[in-house]
Formats: sequence, structure tokens, C-alpha cells
Amino acid sequence: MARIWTAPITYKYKQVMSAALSNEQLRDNLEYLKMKPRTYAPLALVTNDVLAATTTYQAVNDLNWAVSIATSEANEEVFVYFQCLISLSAGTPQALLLDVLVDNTNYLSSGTPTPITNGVGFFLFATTSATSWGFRKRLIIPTIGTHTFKLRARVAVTSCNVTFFTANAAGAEFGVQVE
Amino acid sequence: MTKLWNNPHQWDVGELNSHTKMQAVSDALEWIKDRPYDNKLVTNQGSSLTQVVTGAGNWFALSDALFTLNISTAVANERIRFDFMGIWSTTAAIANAFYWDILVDDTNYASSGTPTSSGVGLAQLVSVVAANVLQPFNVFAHYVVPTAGLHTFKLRVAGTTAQTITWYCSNANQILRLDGLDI
Repeated sequence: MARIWTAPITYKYKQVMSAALSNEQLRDNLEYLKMKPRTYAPLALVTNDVLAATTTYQAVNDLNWAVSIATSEANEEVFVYFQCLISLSAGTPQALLLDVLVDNTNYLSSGTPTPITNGVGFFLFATTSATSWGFRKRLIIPTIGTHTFKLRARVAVTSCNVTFFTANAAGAEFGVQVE
Repeated sequence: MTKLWNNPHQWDVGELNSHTKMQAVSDALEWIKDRPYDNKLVTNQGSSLTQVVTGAGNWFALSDALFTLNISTAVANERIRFDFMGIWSTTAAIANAFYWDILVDDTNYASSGTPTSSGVGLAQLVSVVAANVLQPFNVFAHYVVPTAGLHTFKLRVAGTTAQTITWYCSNANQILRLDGLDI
């Protein structure tokens, strides 16, 4: 059972350790630390996700590429990761750029409503052949509560289709966890 | 040394503490600090590892002597994160992949219980390059272990078509690494 984190108390002289306090401070906090909040979406679907990408960031597929997590204190450090086999339909040279929209407001790359040019990283495609690609990035979440993370993508040069190989258990995964 | 995890005691109203209950707290703290983990780092072997693969779905043990992890899970449904990274090449040119999977306790595959053709994922797909071009790979996968206890995790590989694949570890500049961490 997932537990909620409660900030450890400062013990006073002759502190009475009630059952409620023991369960909160010891049992619940230990079990929370053992299994910190995490959500991941291993994508083994029937079909691939194909995005008609442009040079501005857009949703890949918010039904598949979105995860949420609950933070229990302000400024919680979380870890966002992504892995997928990807191909582009356009000619070369071309680059795929990825970012994550946090809580439908700010981008992972910049922490603001405007992503930085290259997002959280880009991959240069020399050809249209498929390539496995991913990123892992930490960020600080300033507020307590449930937070959502949605994958965003764009291409660098000319609009083209981007295929995310989510079919046939190709190892696609998008996740987030409290560090 | 990693302690065995025991679920912390649930205190009832009026219940007194004892040294055994507090020892469980102490052990749990140590378990959290040093989570169950195993890794195999293979380098400077003199020769690299090669494997003739015969097509998707045909799985091979690259080397159980080198790539077997032992991790003890405390309770049912613990999650293990596997990371596999290194450098590889293939004798077959253009658009070839190798797949990887983990054989759990010599019985089930991490991908599905029984192995799928793609395993837990693709390690890399070679783009339009000539044969024998070295490619880096760095991939991960998660697996939920259904039962508590000591488990073995053995690396398995396959390829898209018949080919010979090399995983480089012959000198000190070439490192193959398989990690498993209870998260």
C-alpha cells in the first residue's frame, strides 16, 4: 500500500510516542521511502504513434504519452525519463526535438510556458531509418499535489511524420518518479 | 550489507515499543539506504563477446557466467529497473537490431512470462551504415517481480536476421554493463 510522507518531527524531552505518531513517523514514512511515488507507461500497443510534426512543439499523443505523480512536499525532486525507437519520414538533414509539458503550463526544458529551442535534447537524423532514443532529466516541482507530464515533440527543418514505435513491445517507455 | 526488508510494525493504541520493533525500523532504514542491487561490468576481457543470432524470437545467452544478476526481493511485486549499455556491431549491413530480454529464475522472461519476439525492447537499430560499424547502446526496462525471495536475472539476446553480433569488451576502453536495482 502506498503511504503518504509526513515530515519527521523534532522530538521533545519525554515525548510520548503514541500509536498514531509511531505509525505516521515510522511505519508510513519508511514504507513511503521504500516505494516512492512513481508512474510509468511501458507502451506495447497494437499500432505505432505517428505524429505529423511541425517545427513548433506539439502533443505526440496525450492518451499514451502522459503520466502523473503526486508530490507530498514543496520543491520535490522528480526524475522524468523517456525511451523509444523513432523514425522520421522527411529527407535529411533533420532533427527531432523533445520536451515535456508539466501541468499543462511549463516546459521541462525551461520551467516556463516557453520551451528552450532544443527542448530537453535533440537527435539528429542522418537518414529516415529508425533509431532508438531517449532522455532522463531531473526537475524540482515547487508545489504539493498531483502533477502531469506530457510528451511534446517538434522537428527542426521541415514538417514530416515522426513514428514512435509503440507496437510489438519495442521497449517504448515514458515515466516519472520521486527521487 | 543490505538488510532484509520487513514491513514496519503497526502500533496499536497503548502498545509499548520493544527492541525487536525498533530493530525492524533500523533494518528498514538500512534497506532504504542500500537498496537491493547487482551489476555486472565486463571489460578488458582480451576478446569481445560474439553471438550468431538467427532471427527475432530466437534467444541466446550471451554469457550467463558474465551476465547473471542476483537480487533478493523483500515482498511480492517489487520493481526492478534493468540498464544495459555498451558498444556493438553486426556483420549484417543496414537496418538491423538486436533485442534483449531477461530470463527470470530460469523460467520466465521479463517481457511477458514467455518471450516475445522483441523481448523487453530494442537495444539499437543500425541506421544506414556498413557492416561492422560500432554503435553505442544504452537501454533500460522495468520488471515487476511477482514473488518475494532471491531471484536470478540472466541476459538474453536476439537479432532481427541471421548475423553475427559483437558486444565489445576486449580492452579497457570497452565496457559492457548490466545493472539491476530494486526501485
